[in-house]
Amino acid sequence: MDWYPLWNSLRIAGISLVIVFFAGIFAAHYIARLPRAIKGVLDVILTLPMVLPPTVVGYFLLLIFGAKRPIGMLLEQIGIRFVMTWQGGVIAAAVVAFPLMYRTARGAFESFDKTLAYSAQTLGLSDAFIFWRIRLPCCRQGILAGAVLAFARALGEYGATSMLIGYTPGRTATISTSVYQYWRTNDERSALIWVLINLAISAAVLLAVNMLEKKNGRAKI
Amino acid sequence: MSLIVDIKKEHGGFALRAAFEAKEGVAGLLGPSGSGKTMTLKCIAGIERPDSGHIELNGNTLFDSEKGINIKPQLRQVGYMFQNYALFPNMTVKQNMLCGANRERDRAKKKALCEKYIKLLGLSGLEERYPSELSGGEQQRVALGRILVGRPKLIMLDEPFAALDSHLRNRLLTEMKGLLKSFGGPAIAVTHSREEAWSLCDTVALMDGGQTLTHKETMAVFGNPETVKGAEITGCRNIAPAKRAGEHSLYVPDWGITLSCAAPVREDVMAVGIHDRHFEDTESNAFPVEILDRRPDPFGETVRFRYACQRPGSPDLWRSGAPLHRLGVSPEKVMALYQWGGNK
Repeated sequence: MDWYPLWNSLRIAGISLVIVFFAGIFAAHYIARLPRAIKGVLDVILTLPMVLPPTVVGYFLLLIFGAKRPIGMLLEQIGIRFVMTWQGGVIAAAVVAFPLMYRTARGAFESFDKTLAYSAQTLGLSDAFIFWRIRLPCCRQGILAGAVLAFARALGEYGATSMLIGYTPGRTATISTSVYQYWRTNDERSALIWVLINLAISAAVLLAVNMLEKKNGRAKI
Repeated sequence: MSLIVDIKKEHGGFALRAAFEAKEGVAGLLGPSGSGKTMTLKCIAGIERPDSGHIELNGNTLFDSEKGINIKPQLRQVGYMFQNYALFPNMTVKQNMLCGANRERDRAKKKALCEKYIKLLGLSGLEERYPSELSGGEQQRVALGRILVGRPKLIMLDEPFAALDSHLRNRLLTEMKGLLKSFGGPAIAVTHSREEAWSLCDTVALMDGGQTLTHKETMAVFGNPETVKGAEITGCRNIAPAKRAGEHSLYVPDWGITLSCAAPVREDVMAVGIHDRHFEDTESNAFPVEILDRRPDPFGETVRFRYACQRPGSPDLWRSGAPLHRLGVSPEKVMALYQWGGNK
């Protein structure tokens, strides 16, 4: 059996999670402080990928990274290609999963007790310390929930991925595109195997989160 | 060592105009909620920026709108205890204390400093607990310890006892007083409770509608709050408009009487105030009264009454004590009030 889709899916979801995790947190952190009007506009733009059909997102990604588009051509010159490559899968998954991370992180930051930051300031603690050691840990649950959602979404990404990178066995095949391909070619057994693998990964992720929560249960936040 | 505050700030239809000086000892800011007490503390701490004015601590300017000075809160060395104590929930007692000592760079000294205050505040054995595992009183002590280890130049307490049960309050009041005394520098305590201001503060500034009113020794403020709002804040319920009737006398049209007053009365007098407990069985300023009802309280009795010739429609009066039919007030207790109060 060819295990490539598993490895490829994990790689795409893992890398896009790292990107989305930091991008989402920093977007949430900075946008929460902006004036209301700008906040509203940015909010709409950053949340759009969540509500648009993934194929529409894929269409936009092709518009940007297509081989005959300015940005695509520019990237081609420095040897980067996102169309029909697994790296493109990372881009597609990240764009689709980003709003989930961003919105949950922002919700967590907004419910953060500001007096904690104020009192930390008066104690002489630096803004960096306040962010990394007080604000983030206090918002841990929300951020973790966002990361899990984003990872799950990235792992299950199908629409934008199939538009941008298609399905090439051994090169761009992911679990979700494989399930569709096997089903389409009447290989129900292989499709079922990949469905079960996907189920197992999702269950493992959720279990890990639960255990992490219990471990830190004493510091009630 | 002293703190000088003279600031203005507009905030959503609310105008703060705080001006006072605090020396060593505890200065209280006493006023109803929404009178701008917390906003004043936030401006001193550097969390809020005043529109204009000047803040000076021990000769160092913390804020000056004209000179464009606005020192970061991190550099002000002002200890601020929040109403909810704002302990970091993800850190143990010890870690919280270490955060407070972060200005000390030497690790060994930092640790020793924390241990000293943990012992001093009776927190030994609780070092590894999280704030959610502490009682309200313990949380308060950690918050205070976290401030004290930073060796602040000024300590500010925002409603320090509001989050505590009343039976705990009295014990901790005494404890807090001792700690602030040993701290030695100036301290400000914000409160809406007369009892707390009375037992904790050396001086009291009254606040109403965003404005600081009288600021004097605690005893003097309660004895003569000077303004109508100030009289209300210090717990005076019997207030009526008054006019000057002579060098030492006041005419009170609502009550239909003229009262003699120990202090000289100025022309611009607005009202008169008399505390419940100052109506006595004495011949000075004595007039016949009509008792309306009697309300027992745990240690005595409060009566509602009206003067015999009181104008109909004017509010009833209150006295703590027995229901006599003739009540007097000693001239020293007649408070002449000269201004309405804050902005309203």
